[in-house]
Amino acid sequence: MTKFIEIAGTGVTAILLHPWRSAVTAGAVTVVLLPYLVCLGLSHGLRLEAESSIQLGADLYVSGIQFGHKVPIPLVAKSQIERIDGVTEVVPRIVGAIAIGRNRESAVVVGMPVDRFATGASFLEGRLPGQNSVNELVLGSELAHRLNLKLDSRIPPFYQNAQGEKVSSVVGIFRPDAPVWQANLILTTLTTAAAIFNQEGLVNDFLVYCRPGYEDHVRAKVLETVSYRAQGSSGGPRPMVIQRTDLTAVLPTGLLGQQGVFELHFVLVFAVGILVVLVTSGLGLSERRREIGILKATGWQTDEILFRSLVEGCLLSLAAAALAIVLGLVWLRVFNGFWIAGVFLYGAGVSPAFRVPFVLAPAPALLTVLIALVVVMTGSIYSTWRAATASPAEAMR
Amino acid sequence: MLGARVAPRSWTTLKRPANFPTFFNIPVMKRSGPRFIFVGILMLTMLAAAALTADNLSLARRRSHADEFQRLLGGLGLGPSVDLAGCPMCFDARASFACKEDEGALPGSKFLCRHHACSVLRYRPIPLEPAAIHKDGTR
Amino acid sequence: MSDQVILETRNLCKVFRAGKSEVRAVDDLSVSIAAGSFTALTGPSGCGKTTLLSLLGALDRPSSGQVFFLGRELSRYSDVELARLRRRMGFVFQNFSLIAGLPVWDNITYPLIPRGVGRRERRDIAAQMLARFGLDDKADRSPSELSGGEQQRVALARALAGQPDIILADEPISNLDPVNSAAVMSCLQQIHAEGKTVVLSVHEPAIAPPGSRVISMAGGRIQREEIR
Ligand SMILES: Nc1ncnc2c1ncn2[C@@H]1O[C@H](COP(=O)(O)OP(=O)(O)OP(=O)(O)O)[C@@H](O)[C@H]1O
Ligand SMILES: [Mg+2]
Ligand SMILES: [Zn+2]
Repeated sequence: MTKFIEIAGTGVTAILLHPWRSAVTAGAVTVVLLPYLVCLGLSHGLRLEAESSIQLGADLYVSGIQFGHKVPIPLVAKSQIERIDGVTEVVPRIVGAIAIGRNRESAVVVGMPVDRFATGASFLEGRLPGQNSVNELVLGSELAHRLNLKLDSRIPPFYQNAQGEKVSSVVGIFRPDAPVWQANLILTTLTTAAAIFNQEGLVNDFLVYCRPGYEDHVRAKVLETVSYRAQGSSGGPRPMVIQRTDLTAVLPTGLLGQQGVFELHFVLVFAVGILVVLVTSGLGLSERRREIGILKATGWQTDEILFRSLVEGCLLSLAAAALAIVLGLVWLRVFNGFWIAGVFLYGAGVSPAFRVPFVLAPAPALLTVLIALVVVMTGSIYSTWRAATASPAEAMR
Repeated sequence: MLGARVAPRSWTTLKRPANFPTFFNIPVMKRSGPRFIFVGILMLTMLAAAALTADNLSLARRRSHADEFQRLLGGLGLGPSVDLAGCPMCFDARASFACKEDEGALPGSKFLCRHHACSVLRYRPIPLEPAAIHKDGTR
Repeated sequence: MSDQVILETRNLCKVFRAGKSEVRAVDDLSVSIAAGSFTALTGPSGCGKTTLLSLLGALDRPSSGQVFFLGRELSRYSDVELARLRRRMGFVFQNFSLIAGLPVWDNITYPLIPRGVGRRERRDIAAQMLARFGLDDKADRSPSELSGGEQQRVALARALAGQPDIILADEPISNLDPVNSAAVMSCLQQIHAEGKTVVLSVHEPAIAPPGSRVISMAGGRIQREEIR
């Protein structure tokens, strides 16, 4: 027992025998792990938000489809859907893209019936657009930041329609810690949104809420009864219904296999990482080979030398993984994903003005430790083994 | 018994005799060095574990606004994009039924959309159910 | 002195290849070393002393021929058995081969670690060895801070720390002044007197103690043998 503790002790000492080598090894592994960890954390954080978006959203979304594309649906269809058995509420919603400001910042306009805004909201500063209000907007935190708009700011006319130009006012700004998709949002009433796009009488979706268990029935009924067809034509859009289960089905599952090409990218990075560690851990380091030769010559067994190397490698990879985790948390929490968020989140700037979704669950963190171990061990154990199985005189040369 | 330890035990680099067959001048190891490094690594690991735990425990508090937001807006947003300018499907699979740049005539153009290609949350488009089209077409 | 042969070589050859040229560092050499004997290898530089010693010490594999330890051929030893065997031998390297960065006391007792000797005990052993060689105050120094002669004595201390049965010392006094070389030689003689086998290489055969066997080498072969 003393023997193993003592040998383990020499493993710790070995880190200090070649401080630069150790630092470079741990550093290289940290550099490899950090973006991976950030990516896993972003992926998980986003996924949680996506799940709540699905779970707390409507039971069904009814819109139009034409030539495989989503098209708006006439507002008049609302009453047709409301009549379906089991439907409890139908909410029309407009979701559209505009560009605003001198720099043409892209924004997402969402319009909802004003009675939806009756309640207060803790996720914004200010208030929601009020009854009978026109052109009252709630802005996303990123958009407000980019346009340099504050609460009660006035926005010069940014759209034109049949009624001419209107000055709008900012009545609310989303808090940065609301879900990411608020970042570039312009939330307003259905009327104002329709005016912005000059599309009276049309909406993008109906959010349909129904009694539990009625989803399939409602879906079938909507497809059956909601008529789109322009008079005297057999063409035109048809209704399309998305159910909650459709959405959960497209979300990827599992820890791995969800990130697409970025995984391939990281497989390559790991391969490079292993090579770097191979080099730093002594394939080319004659000093280290010599040291192992001395150990062999003075009566160390190969397995004892490997154990020493194992302890050294374990500690180095533990240090690298821990460092990567700490740095990852600091980067995403303290610096709010400065720069890296923009790499993975489309539309995010270098320094996002919204809270970047980042959840580093224990499983990916453990995976990080594991990967660090694999990378360091592949590199160092191999070179140690090579040196330890050569004859001592050869290794010491 | 061990004699006076007058030796400078420091990390300062010392000149080694010319006949010493190594390249670099290696600093003298402090006696406390290994212990220091061991404790340091353990503390770093513990710090990481603590930070991770704290972060995961505060998760619920940080996401407190999420539920209210999604209830009010009826479910908005799904993917790794914060606006509709790039690939609308990346913003929300409900906003577009297909990836904007996924329709090229190129064979195997699956990854043509750069928003999807390097995305942290990659999902398929919602399948357009043929049955639905059929139903509508016949009635 | 017993007549038991502890180390023996038969037709031992070691060939080094550097590019096209070949160096026969040890050439068809047969010698046997009796347990408890004192043997000195001499000869001009490059005659193969170091190579022979490392073959005897199981540090290198012969190109051909055999080395026997107590009648058993070394190539039939397993890795673990070889390690055990090396623990019974103390090797002093011509270039000292100390581990830079480790303090002197740790260098001396590093071979004891896999034998399960605890840290405190190792320090004690190191202190004893250092006192024996007049290096009491150097325990916590780095080898790089020592003079060549001091390093040589540290290397000898390391070889002796494990209380080996055989000492194989490659030019253990080449860097020492007369006073220190006399001290080292008397130390080796003392070990010999304790019944250990000593094999050393020296440039100056005159320093070999009376009654020792002196083997003169040239070109990897034994040229002459005498008892002083
Ligand atoms: N690794 C090697 N590769 C090639 N040739 C070698 C190697 N080691 C030794 N030699 C050659 O083998 C011969 C014997 O070398 P060795 O070191 O045994 O000599 P030596 O008697 O110890 O000399 P010295 O008294 O200078 O230490 C020399 O000619 C040397 O050049
Ligand atoms: Mg020599
Ligand atoms: Zn896309």
